Amino acid sequence: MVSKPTKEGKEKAITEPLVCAHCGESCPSDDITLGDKHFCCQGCKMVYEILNENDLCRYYELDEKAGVSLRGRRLEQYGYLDEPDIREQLLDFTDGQRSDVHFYLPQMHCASCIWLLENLYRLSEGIRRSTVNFPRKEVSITFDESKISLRQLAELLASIGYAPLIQLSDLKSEEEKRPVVDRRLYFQLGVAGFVFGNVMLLSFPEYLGLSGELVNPLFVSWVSWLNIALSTLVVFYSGRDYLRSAWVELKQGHLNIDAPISLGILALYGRSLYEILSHTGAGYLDSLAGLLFFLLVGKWFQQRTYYRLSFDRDYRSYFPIAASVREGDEERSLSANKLEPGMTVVLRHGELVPADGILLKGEALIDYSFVTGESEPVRKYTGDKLYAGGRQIGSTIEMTLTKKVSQSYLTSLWNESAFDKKQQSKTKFLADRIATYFTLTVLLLAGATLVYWLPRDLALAFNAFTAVLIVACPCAVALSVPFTFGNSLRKLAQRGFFLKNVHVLEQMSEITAIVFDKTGTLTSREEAEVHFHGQPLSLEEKILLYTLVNQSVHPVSKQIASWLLRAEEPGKMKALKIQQFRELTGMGLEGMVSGRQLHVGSQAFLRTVLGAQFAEGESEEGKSVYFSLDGHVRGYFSLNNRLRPHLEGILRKLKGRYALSLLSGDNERERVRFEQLFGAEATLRFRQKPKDKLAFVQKLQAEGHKVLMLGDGLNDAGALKQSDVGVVLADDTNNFTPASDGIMDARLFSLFPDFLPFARNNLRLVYAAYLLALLYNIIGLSFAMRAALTPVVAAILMPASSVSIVLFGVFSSNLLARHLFGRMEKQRFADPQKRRVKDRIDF
Amino acid sequence: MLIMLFLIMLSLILALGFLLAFFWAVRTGQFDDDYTPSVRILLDDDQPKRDNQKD
Repeated sequence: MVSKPTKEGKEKAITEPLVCAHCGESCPSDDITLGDKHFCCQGCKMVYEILNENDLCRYYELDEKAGVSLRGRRLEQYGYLDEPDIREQLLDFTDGQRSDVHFYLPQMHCASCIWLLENLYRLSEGIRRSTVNFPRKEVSITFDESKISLRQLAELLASIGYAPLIQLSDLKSEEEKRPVVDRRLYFQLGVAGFVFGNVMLLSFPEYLGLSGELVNPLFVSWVSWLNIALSTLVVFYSGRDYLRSAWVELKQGHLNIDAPISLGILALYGRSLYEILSHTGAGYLDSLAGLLFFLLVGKWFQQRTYYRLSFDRDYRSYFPIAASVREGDEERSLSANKLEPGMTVVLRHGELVPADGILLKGEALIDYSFVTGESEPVRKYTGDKLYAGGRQIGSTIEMTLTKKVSQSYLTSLWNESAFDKKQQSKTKFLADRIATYFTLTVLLLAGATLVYWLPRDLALAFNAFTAVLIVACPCAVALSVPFTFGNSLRKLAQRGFFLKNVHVLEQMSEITAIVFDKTGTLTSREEAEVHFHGQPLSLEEKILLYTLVNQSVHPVSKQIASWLLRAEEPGKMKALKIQQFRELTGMGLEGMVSGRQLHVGSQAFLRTVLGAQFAEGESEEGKSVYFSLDGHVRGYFSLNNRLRPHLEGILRKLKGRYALSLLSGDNERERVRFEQLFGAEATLRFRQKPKDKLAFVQKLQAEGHKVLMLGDGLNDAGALKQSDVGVVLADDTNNFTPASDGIMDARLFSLFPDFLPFARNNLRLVYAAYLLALLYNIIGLSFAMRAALTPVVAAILMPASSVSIVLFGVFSSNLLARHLFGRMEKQRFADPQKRRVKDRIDF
Repeated sequence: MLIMLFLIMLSLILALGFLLAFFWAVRTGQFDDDYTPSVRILLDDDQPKRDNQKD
């Protein structure tokens, strides 16, 4: 293996890249080792040690890239879990000793994770059992509180790389703790399937014409009664959601898709009851049970998702669950909803300002990019106002609160009208729009049939009238949206685009305007385009510089560090020993590495440090950071917000087809750059406050546009909600995302222009399915209006139409996805190939 | 013909048994997570050797 390079060996050190034994990522330095294993950071080494000591190293054999890198991650603080009322609200169950709790672990990603998390009992004897729910990324743990406390449990999970994510919205009172899983659909489906099968079997004698002398009349009436009992169950249990929904809408004067369905159900049920009770026939009870069974299967298919993402988060999910409050000389954690004005709160590096307040002491550098969209952290001085939602960078600060969490500036955004409005009432969905015409047409046809037959034959007239209602039931119409859109939703999810429900796909097909947010959406929040101006740096100089900037958590230092890492081959860049390191807030860094004096910072900083030796360098647009070595300026870095890869191509595809706009909370510094990208027709607005963004979307909608908004931060929350389709672009879909209709994996952003045509073509597929359904209805109606619809014809025609619509929907949307996005290998969660497959489609 | 009735009732009771079994399965949460068990069954319980013993 590689030995620690000497000073001479450094220049030509072409070492093979070191790979961390825990997380599999390349190691920046080679001095963190255990035996012959190398690690990228102390965190990874610690995890490895814990697992090794407990014979859990199988973890690394089960799935490649099992470990989660701990580099740059701060260990979470779980002190607040010792607070009795927080503990009580988090526990699912406790009898004082044995307790149940479930944690959300965003880092869970592979089969190894499942294995390790279900073997937790080997790490602590207080843990009795742990069960993973992988799609929900949850682990349920039963533990003994006399042996391990809730806090220790959370810390144990964090120490092996699975830090539980606990948020303000997780705190639940006793009555809210009931399980949220809705299993009613399964029960309804089970009943419908049971009844469908039995009624069909019992109806066989009828199909085969085995009535009359062959079959005992007692037997026939017996079977009929049995059928009635079973179908009553299916209508009023399995079908009650349809009946109720139709009734509720009807009372308000609307017709939705459930109205013609209910009409069909009731017509089938009523006609069958009449026939059986009057001994004029056997009724259509088998068709009735079959209809409900297919409808429920469609509903289940539509709801079935393979991903668990939260689309309805509000500020409560973003804020921390607790803050450390200072009382005299003591510090204790207090849950966020108990914070009161006047309290003194201590904030450490990376912590969020929980509520509006005033800075008491410390050097505050607040990153508001998520809240306001400004990309640069803001320097604050004692006495300045701090707004909730900002993230402190650097040293520890103290602040006095002036407001409660729920009354802060940021949370007041949620009181906007856009958040009150129910999404559903905004537009009528396709199926419901069609339902109105459909129901009226059916009633008209049924009426006409009645009028035609009435003078001729009373019994036949009634027969034909109900037959029309039965056969025209929009089963096929009701099934085509769930299956076509439901399948497409899954196709999109495989390509990193997760939609809230099938209606979003429908809305997407009508989009005419696209609004982009800048910071975090089009530009990366962390990474920057870094250019060095001056004599190119040698590898040795780069290592010196890396050692210095690696010490600081300031975003600019991090950007330079990641640029240095990227510029060199993996494994070459390493941090050396540093002496006399100092970070001057708002100025720069200094330190001694290998006996050489380094300074990195603003122009003003270097001028004070170096005095006359400092030669002016011309500064371009963007931010400049100067670098000096042994008192001589080596040059300066210019930093620009880094654009998302492929942005130019994406915009070129969208230009001309949609009205494009850009909204940014930043200043106009980059206007020229974005004007070139967006073209002359686009609207670019800078210095936009969250409310301005909301107003802009409203203005577009007033002009008749259907708006798709692409944003990411809390500052976009209002605009996202107001848009017809609000999409969040997320680098990590497990992180906090504001309320939206869809979440897009940022790595697959280049597919975005194809998503909109995909949605439009999907709508065409549904129309085609409707045509197919219409064809069936015409055939069925031709029987019904002639009063010739026998139970056998109904029993064949109705399932046939349902099944063919389902097959058409699934196959056609599969073909469409393949045509637009190309063939793709199937991804499974724990598939070791998953990452490789992802990399492949990842450009 | 009475035997037919008897057989029908028998088959219905049998089917009802399956329905109740399905209800029980749903109620105990077996349909809540249909992915994790498929992985869990592939994971063995055997104790692998300690890393430093292997070397």
